[in-house]
Amino acid sequence: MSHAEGNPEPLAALVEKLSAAAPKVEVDDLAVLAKMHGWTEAVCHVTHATGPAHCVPVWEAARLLTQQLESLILGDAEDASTMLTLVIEGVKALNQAVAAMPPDSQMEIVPSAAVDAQTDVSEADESASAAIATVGTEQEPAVVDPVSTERSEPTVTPAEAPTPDEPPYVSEPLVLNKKEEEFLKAFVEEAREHIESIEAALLEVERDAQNEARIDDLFRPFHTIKGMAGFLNLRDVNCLTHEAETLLDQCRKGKRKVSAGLIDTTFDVVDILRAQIDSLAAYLAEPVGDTVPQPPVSGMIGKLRQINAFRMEPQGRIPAPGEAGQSLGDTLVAQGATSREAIDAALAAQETTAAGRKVGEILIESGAATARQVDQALRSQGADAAEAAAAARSGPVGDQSVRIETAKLDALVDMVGELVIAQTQVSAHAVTNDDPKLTKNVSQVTKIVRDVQEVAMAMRMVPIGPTFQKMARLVRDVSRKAGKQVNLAISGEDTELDKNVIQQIGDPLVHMVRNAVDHGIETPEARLAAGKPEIGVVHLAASHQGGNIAIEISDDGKGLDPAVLFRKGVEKGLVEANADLSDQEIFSLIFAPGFSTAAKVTDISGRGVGMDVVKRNIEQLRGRVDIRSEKGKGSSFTICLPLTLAIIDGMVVRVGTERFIIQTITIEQSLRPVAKNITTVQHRGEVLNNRGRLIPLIQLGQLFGLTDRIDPCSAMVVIAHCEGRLIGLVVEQLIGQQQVVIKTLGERFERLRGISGAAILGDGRVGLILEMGGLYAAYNDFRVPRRRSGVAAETSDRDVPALGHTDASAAPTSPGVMQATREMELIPA
Amino acid sequence: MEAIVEAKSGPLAPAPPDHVRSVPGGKFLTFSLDREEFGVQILKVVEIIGVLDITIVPHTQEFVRGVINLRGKVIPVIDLRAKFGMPAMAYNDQTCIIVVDVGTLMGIIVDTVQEVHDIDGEDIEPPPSLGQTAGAGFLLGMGKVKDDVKILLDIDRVLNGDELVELPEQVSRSEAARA
Repeated sequence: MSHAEGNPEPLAALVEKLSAAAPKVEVDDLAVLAKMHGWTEAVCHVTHATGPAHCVPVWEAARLLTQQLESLILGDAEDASTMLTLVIEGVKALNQAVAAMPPDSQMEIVPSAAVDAQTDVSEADESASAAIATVGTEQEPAVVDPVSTERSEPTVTPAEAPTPDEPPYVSEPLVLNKKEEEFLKAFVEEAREHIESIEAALLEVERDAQNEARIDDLFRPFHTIKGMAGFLNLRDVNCLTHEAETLLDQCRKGKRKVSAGLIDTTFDVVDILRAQIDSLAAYLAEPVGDTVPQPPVSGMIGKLRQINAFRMEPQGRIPAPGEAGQSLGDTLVAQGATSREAIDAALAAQETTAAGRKVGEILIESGAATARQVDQALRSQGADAAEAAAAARSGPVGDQSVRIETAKLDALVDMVGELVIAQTQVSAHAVTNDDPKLTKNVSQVTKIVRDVQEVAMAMRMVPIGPTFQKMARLVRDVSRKAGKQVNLAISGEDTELDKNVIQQIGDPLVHMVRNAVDHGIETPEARLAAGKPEIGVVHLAASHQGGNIAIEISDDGKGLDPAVLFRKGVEKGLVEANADLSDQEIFSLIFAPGFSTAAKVTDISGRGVGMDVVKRNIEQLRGRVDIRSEKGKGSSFTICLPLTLAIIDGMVVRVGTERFIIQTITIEQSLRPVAKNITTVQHRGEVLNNRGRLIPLIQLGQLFGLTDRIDPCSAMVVIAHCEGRLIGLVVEQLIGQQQVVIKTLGERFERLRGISGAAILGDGRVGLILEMGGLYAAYNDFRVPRRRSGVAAETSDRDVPALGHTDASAAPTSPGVMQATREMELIPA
Repeated sequence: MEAIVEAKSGPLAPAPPDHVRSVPGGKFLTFSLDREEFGVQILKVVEIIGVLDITIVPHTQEFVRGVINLRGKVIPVIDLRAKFGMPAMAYNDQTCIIVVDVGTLMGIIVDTVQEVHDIDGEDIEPPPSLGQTAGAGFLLGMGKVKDDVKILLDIDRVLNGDELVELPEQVSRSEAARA
């Protein structure tokens, strides 16, 4: 990545680069020499432009060095190797001169934007520049796409070069090159990341328009996408990003103010860009037809061109698509080879003379620039494109990472899981063998295996930050539409969780954040009237809590009103009008399908789809949602999730000969009850009184047909959370807590209730993982068999309302329990 | 399920159902169940293992014995005797689980595994017509090996035809019966 796209480099960095490059450079290594030339010129510019007296020695040293390098590059030097020695000496001198400067003055000196342009083009990728054909007077950018043969690069000769009043952009059918499929896939992935960082930067720029570093952050991903798209012949994307980049470049160079309109336009560009990338991704996943469907871009490109043209300097022209970076003229001017006027003259001459003449030719003929200079400028142009292409191939430079398919990672984690199990078996064997050497070796292996497991798990972990960033965009859009002012605060964005979890948490988060903004936060007037600050705050926080991750979405809005929710629930027939519900139970009503409290349906939310889907998604991730809310103060939704989908912390319990795993996250406590706390109804419907809470006891053994009734007082009861209530599972023995790798039981067992999967236990046998919701439903059917249809079935349905106001949670003498008891008497013993 | 048992004694009818009109010959793994000999296409067989610890999966059909750990994969195991309505028999050291690939991996429990036979297409008789009963679909044909007749199973149909999980009505019925 060229530094010119980043922050301007201080003098010290430039000199450091020079010092690093000087000892290694060869006479014929033009690419490095060109780089060094760029750096020395930058030094010249910095010191000259800033001008204070203490800079002069540095400037002089750099000037001399520039001339020496120039003569080397241009081949003017009579004795190249002597000249090289001089150059190396010159770098040392420059170093000394810089060292002699007052220490703090070094910090003040940073290159201006104009220097950026020079270094941008001269700091090129070495290998790429070697690949570029030596061109004499060709004006086209050197084509750096050796693979593509399907379509020629949309090179543009100056005669057809777009000018501000050019014909509108016309999108062409996009045919992909099969050979480039891998590149394209990588491009899609990277482009998506870049789009995310663009959005993040945009939101920051919107908040703080003066933040130049942020504008740079905005510019850079556009530039990268453009480069990659050019390399891959994605003309639409290339052209679109190019125009956006041109626009942003003007801001970056201070030629244009960052306005709200500009930010909106850029957001629009991002949306179109995303649509383009998505459509490309869809086509890559499943090619339909010969050409890739491309969402329209020409309108936006036209708009951008107009915007750009309006502010363009008269001599500037918009580089054509496929032309990376600057036009030849700009490059030459920037390198100081010729003047702006000469270029303009050449351009004018080009238009009057026969078509096909290159600006470079004209310039050389008229003596405005030497062939060498034109050549060099062309090289650096090509190098710029080559650099972008290299970035497309290898990802961001300096980012020490490798992309791996998730499937491979999953397979690795699976195998490590097997390894851990096999290891456990071996070590169990070693313990009984009483061989000290074996025991020692085995414990060594155990340690290594555990480390391997940790590393394997860590590989799948990614920070949640980018997911939160996406919400920032959402909050912005939704609050605007709803006419509200909302700030998004984010904390804990470094919290890492499994990639699969992150992928699946996106949709629920979108719903909840949208709800927080649309339903939670009030309008500015209402907020002021309620004595709150005008701007509402939605807070997204992530944190680790034990082996789980908690994601909290809170707002300081109007909060949930239990009375309103209850009325709505009654209206929708979800609860009885005379039901006595706790606030918690009333809050959980919003998860019922079709429940919406919004008075009117907006195009943002309020259609009553969402929260039930949210709940389902989160339960699929084996997580749960807790709601806290205070009327007038705000609401807070906490999503509690396991760190990974592949491994859970489980409690292994035994029932009869079988062992089951209960996810630790769902367990509240395990206890051996005393007889007086158990209320037995006809030896069947047992209820445990746990600190005043009445908890229905589920006889796992009976429910699964494994054992007869087990006396809870001589066994164990595991109290677990189940859809907002507690249930007690009667098990014979708690074997212990362990991490298990989850295995699916396959689609053949998909409909199994109460069992969500399986795991291989320490002895190699399979243990089943219990799922509380299904278990509770099976338990209800078990007590009140549906076989007895008609009255009984209906009654049982009504006894177990969606809300979870169960008969068992009421007093033992309540009609519900009596009803159940009566049902049970009817079952043949 | 009784249909299979019936098939052995029933008259052989000439017209096979459309889907089994031509059975290509090939290698078949033969095994015994009760007193009958069956064969499955060797291409479907993944491996043969002894009876491992089987974990019971609650609320499944009678013939589903449970799941086993096949080197880290959890696969369902079907008792073919139960599936075909034959009398149950205690497992012994002859009892085997044949792991077959029917889209997913599944294990079938058989009394003994015999051998692999090469049966030509012309030695395979179409299955007896049993009308539209469910059992008919399970058969590829009757393979003649010397004097013996092997019942060649369409193992995909045997294993993929039925739901493994009990339907809710069945759950409550069986629970009630157990209670």
